[in-house]
Amino acid sequence: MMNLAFALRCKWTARRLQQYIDMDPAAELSAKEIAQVRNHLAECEKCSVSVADYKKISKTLRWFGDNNSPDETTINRLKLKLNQIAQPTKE
Amino acid sequence: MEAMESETEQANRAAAFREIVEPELPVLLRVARGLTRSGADAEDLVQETLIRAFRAILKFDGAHPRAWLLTILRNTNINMNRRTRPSLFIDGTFWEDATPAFGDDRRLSAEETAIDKSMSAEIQKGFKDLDPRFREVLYLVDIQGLNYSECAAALGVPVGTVMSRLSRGRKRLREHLVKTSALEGISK
Repeated sequence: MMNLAFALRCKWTARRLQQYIDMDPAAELSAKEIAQVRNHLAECEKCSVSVADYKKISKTLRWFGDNNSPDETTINRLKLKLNQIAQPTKE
Repeated sequence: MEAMESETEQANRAAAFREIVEPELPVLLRVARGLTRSGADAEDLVQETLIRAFRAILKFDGAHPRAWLLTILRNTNINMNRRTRPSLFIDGTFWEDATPAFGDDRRLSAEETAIDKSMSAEIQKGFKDLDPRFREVLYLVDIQGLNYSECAAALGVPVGTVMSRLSRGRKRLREHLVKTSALEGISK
């Protein structure tokens, strides 16, 4: 049976899981918060499974992104265009 | 002499612009593809973005070039499509372009090869069924690898909104994958 304190830690952790996974510079957790999340994950199977699932999903989505890279021909055309645009104007 | 200095400054500015922008071309093109749903339109949008960015380069502070370019891309798209297509974004059809041919020059890791076809189908379905506001954030952050600030710039929303939509979108995608047991097909 989950006690109230554990349930509250679960809820607190759940609100920070995405930040914990992403470690994005715009929304970094403090060192204290990271330690608290890690401690909770070590004792909570539900939250640790969530983290594992989210990591799998992110990895898979990134795989699709990596395999959907623009083709070189288009990139090369844009590089040529970039060079045309970024020409110093001659007086 | 003054004209010579001016030319030198212009040359330096042009070189700096190329240096800043060239590494971002693939990201710009991918995001533009999500915005326009068309390869040709995406290329036009990126070209117009480059023209506007070059005009605005003197106002750029040098920090976060990707976010700066994505902001220009978003505004350019709004301006270009105001009359014809007021509201467009990721509809999930980009999956159809995820062909192996695009990845010919890279080796797949063991984890990547563990992604099986049934899971792939479910994750695509779950992604397409998401609310468009969640889908576009997942597309930009999880698929295209933008950080929160870059995604916020591309969408014109605060970082907090990106975080909230990302969290809810991932949660719903996970619920779909758990329900269909598709997550079991992915290695950790």
